[in-house]
Amino acid sequence: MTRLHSIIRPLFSCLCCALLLGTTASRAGELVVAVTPSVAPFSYLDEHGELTGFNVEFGRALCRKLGETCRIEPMAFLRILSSVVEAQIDIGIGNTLKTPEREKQMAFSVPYWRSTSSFFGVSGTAFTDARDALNKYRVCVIKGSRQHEYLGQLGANVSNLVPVSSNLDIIIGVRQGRCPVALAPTMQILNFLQSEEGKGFSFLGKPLMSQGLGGTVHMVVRLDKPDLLRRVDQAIKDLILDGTHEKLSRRYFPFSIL
Amino acid sequence: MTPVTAARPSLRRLIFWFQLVLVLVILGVTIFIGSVALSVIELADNAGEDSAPRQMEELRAVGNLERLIALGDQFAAERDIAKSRNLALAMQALALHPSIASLAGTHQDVGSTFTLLGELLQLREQPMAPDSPFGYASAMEFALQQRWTAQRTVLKTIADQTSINLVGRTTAVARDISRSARRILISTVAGALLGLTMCLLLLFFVRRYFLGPLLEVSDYLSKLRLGVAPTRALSSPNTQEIADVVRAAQDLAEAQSALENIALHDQLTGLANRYALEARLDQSLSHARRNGTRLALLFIDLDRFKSINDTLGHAVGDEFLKVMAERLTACVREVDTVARLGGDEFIIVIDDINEASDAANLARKLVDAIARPVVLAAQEFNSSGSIGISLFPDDGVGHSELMKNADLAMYHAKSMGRNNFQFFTATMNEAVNARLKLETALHCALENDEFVLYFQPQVNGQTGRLTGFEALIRWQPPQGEMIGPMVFIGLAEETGLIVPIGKWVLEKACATLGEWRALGWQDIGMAINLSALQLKDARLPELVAQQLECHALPPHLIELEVTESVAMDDPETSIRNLLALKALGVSLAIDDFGTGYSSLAYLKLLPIDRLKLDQTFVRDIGVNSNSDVICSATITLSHSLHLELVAEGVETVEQRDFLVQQGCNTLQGYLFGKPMPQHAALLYLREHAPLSPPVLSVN
Repeated sequence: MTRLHSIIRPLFSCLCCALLLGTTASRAGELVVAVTPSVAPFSYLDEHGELTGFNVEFGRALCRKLGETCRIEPMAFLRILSSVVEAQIDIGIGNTLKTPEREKQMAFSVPYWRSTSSFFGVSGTAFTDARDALNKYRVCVIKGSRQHEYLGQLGANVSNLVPVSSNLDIIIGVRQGRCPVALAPTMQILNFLQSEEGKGFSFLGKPLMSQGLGGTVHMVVRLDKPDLLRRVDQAIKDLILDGTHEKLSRRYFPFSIL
Repeated sequence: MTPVTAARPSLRRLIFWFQLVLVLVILGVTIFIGSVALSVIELADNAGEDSAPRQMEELRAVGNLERLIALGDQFAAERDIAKSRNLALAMQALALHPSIASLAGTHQDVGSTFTLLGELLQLREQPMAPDSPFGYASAMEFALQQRWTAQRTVLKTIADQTSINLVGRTTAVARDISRSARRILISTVAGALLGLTMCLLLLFFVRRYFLGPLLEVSDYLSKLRLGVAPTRALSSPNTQEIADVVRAAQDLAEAQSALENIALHDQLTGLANRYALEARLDQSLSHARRNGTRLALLFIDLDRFKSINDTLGHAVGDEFLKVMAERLTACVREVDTVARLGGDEFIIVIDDINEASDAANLARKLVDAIARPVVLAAQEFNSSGSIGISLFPDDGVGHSELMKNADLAMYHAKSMGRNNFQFFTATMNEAVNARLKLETALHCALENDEFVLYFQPQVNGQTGRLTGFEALIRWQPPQGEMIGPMVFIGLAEETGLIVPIGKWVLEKACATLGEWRALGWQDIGMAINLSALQLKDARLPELVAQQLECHALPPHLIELEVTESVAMDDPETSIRNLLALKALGVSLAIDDFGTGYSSLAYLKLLPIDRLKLDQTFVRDIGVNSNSDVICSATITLSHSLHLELVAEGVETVEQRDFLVQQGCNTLQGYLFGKPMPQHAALLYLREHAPLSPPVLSVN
């Protein structure tokens, strides 16, 4: 619990800072890159209060490859999407899955890792499938995420659906019993499950990979900057080819996530 | 010229076939390139950048499976619950990774790994009840081990199979790459060879049938344009169209050659004409300038050629010129230039002479060659030539200057008695300049009325009575001494100025006689000299008639004098004019009789009244017996022909007595009076002529 608090507190303060800052429009000669603030091991604050994680490191490597000066901003998942749409940030690295609706509003880079979605909750919770779970339990999900969209379309008891703003809120919700079951990207909850605080929690049921819940994960880029998208795509390919991706992947995960 | 036959392939047909072959070849090459491109695309698909992610994916799947197996082995061996949990969760996450999950489609057992691991984790975390039978934990652990071992075997088999497939596919791709690369290399080389062959064929075709003949025609025409005769005829062309071009070029060459022949050659003799001469002379001068050598230009004029033309006709004259041209050509080397300027004038240019004597030797040879008798129309003609020589660079550096100076030298040769050659000297130029100056001055004199008439008395041989005067022209420049006619009459005749001068003399003399008559000397006559040009002028009788009328002169008081040569030159016109003058009633006299080239036969034809015996005979009376005889004979001749005789140059009493004794009618000379100006003549009249008062009009 202590460890969780030590993680949560700086994250909250960081999030508040981000919210207080309000607009994050880029300054001349600098790219604004947004990351989610509390999704270990993708982006989180380390023991020194520094923002780190796979997405953060990969974002920095990307900026170096682009030869650009970047300002990395922590930002809630939904706000990343809206900021890209409103051209307040240049690149969003928030583990975004590609959907047709999103593609109309923002540009998607080439994939830089692949994801699946999993239910998790208290170990031993009786679990048959997603519909059954939503009918029986309150289910936490990140608001506006593909998982949220998926559960909303099941035709089950949507009143049990608990949308929260971040991955951290999901974990808090499950831990505090607000929602005994949650649906989230597998890799975003693995770290929690493996932690001391995750004891007594486990994956539930079978993993979800179809219907947009699994597959390639992309960075999002402003739609009005096709040239930037082209350069980002090339930089991602180069980072994969030169081993940077693999190196970072193995630093933050027990295997390659590409 | 090579005859151009029509039995040749048509260039159009050749081009058609060539285009057809080219299209087929291009089609073949396109198919060939297409097949190569397909190979390359296939190769790119199998081994290119696009296939790399697929291979990477398989490699990643194998790696993740191996890692999953390794984690599973750790899990199986791990007794610590917390560590086991971490391992199991990591394995679950790994089992969900798309690289492994994608294998679930073909390997059902892979898909169950996630669930199995969840169950194994549950098994491991399951708390042991205090009342559990002995060995239950071991049995659970055994069961766990068994289930993992079974799953491990499945995963290991899949990993191995995937590896084998990957290696097999990679090997196949490598083999394909190698094979395709070889194919592409062979295809490229074959294509290059084919292209090279086509290019060579095209080059051969274009060169043989098109460019080669055209270049040949171009060279041929270039030489023609430069005026150089092509060294060889055009070769036989390969195609009909080129044959047409060649034929046109040859026709053009023939036409140009004919034109050049006309433009550069004298059509009568075949020698170079003036244009060709100038061109060749320029070339020779350039050569001489470059090499520091000398050259000679010989200006040849045939003496008295005009008389041949006049007496025997132009046809004989032309034949004569041809003979002369051949003789001149025979005297020089082939490299030397012989040209005909026109008429009887020829030019010879001799390059590279060492000394002036070389030119002199040639000139001597030419004079001899010209002087050899010529037989034409069964008649033998004696001819001669006068040659003027100018040398480069001694006498001039340009062709105009050299020709002008050679011309001057030729005139000098003529003046030296003809039938000789003369080198140009600076004094000739001076003479020409003096002559030009005199000519200019003569023009001015006429305009400024600088001429005056002098009058020399003529007396009756028997009575000694003054019968009249001869009007003699003098030139009195504003500054300077009086100039006699000997100085300027010759030039005036050459330049044609003699016509206006002669007219002035006629008018002035008639006017003077009119004045004298008005003063009372009614019977005084006036002798006036006529020039050759005046005598040839058809308007002369009209002019004389005007003067007679204008000054109310009785025609018999006017005597018009012409020299023998004047009368004999163009006798038809002269006789016609003389007859017309005679019809006016004026008196006609032959001046300087006995000095000219005349035929006594003409004396019968000419309507003359008097002969004027030249003073050269009179001067020697009593000194040279021959002169006495000539004078006597001339007087006798004149009387026989019913002509009066006037003796000129009578200076002594002895001469007067002799002439009077021989029956000479009229005497003129210093013995009776020198030529005198008008006012002196008037005094002379008053002194020597009885005045017969004029008939005065009373009303």
